Amino acid sequence: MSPKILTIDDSKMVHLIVAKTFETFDCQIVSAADGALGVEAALREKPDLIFLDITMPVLNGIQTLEKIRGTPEIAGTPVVMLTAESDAQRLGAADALKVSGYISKPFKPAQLVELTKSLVNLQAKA
Amino acid sequence: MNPTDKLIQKFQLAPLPGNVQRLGKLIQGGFAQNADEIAALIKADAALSAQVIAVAQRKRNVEMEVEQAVMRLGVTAITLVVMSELLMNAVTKTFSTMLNAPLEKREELFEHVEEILGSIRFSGRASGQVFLRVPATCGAWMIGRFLGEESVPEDPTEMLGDVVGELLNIVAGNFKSNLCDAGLNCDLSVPSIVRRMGFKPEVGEDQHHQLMAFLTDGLPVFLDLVITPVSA
Repeated sequence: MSPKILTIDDSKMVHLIVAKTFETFDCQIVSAADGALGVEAALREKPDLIFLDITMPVLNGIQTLEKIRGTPEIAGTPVVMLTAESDAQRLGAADALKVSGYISKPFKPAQLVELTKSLVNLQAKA
Repeated sequence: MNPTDKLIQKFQLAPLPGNVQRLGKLIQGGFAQNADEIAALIKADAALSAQVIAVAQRKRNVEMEVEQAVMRLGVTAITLVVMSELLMNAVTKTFSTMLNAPLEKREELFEHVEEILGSIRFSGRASGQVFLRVPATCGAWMIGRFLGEESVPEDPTEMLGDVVGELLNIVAGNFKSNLCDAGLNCDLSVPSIVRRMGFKPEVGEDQHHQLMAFLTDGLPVFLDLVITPVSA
C-alpha cells in the first residue's frame, strides 16, 4: 500500500514543493495550512509520515507536535520537522517530543526524499 | 560535546556559523571586553573583518586595520555588523538553495519600481523588523525558479506574494535561530505581504537601519534590517 504523507505548513509554496518532489513516487500527499487543521487532518487521514513547520498561526509546530503526541490515535506517527527555526531551544523541544528527523529550511527536495525513504516504504511509480 | 552539538549531529544539520559564536561572545563580554579582544574575535573571519573595516571607513575614509576599525566603531556597532552578516548569509543561502539563484551584493541599485514587499517582526531580547523586496514584474522568473517553468500560472502576481512570504519566512527564521543561539532569545511574527512603490522603512530614533542590495539574473533584490541595538 502506498504511504500517505501529510504536510502541515502555512505556506502554499511548501505544499507545492512537497507535491512536486513526490510526484514521481507512489504515495499520497495531503496538506493542512496550520497546526489545528493539521491535527484534524492527521486524525482523519492517519498518515504514515508528517512534515511539520514551526512558525505557523493558530498552533505553532511544537504545540501541534504536543497535540499529536497527546492524541492516542496518532501519537506514534513519525514526524519530521521542516522549518527555518533550528536553534537549540527548538531542537531540544522537538527531540523531547520524539521527532524522527529535522530538516532545516532552506532545503533541497532530495533531502525530503532521502529522509522519507528511511522512514516509510517509498517506491517510484511503475 | 554540548547538548546542542549532539542534536545538530543527530539530525545531520549544518554546524552553527562561526559568527553566531562571535555574536554570543560579544553579547556576553559586553563593554568589559577590550578592543584587542574584540579585534581578535573579528579577525578570525576574513569576510567579517572586511565588513567591519568597510563600515568604519564609511565614517572616516582612511586606510585602517581591524584594530583601528574596532576602536572607531565600538562594541554596539560591531554587534550590529555581525548581525547584518548573519542576515546576509541567511538570504544568500536561501536564494541559492531554494531558487538556485546566487545573489551578488551591490552597493547601489535602482529602486524606483513597483515592488512586492514582505515584512516580518522579531521581538524579545533582540527586536526589529526584516523586509524583503523584489520587483513586482519578477513573478514568472521567481515561480519558475521555485517550482519549475511548467508551474508558472498565466497571472503569476498573486503567487509571487506566496513565494516572497516563504522566502522571507526562511531568511527571518534562520536569522532568528542565529540570534537565539547567540543568547538573544526572540520570537517571529507571521510575515505580511503588500505591493507598493518607493518603500522606506520607519526607523525609530534609537534604531539602526541597514539596506542590503543584491542582483541575481539581472533582477534587484533588497533586504532591509531595522533593529534596536542590543545593549552589551
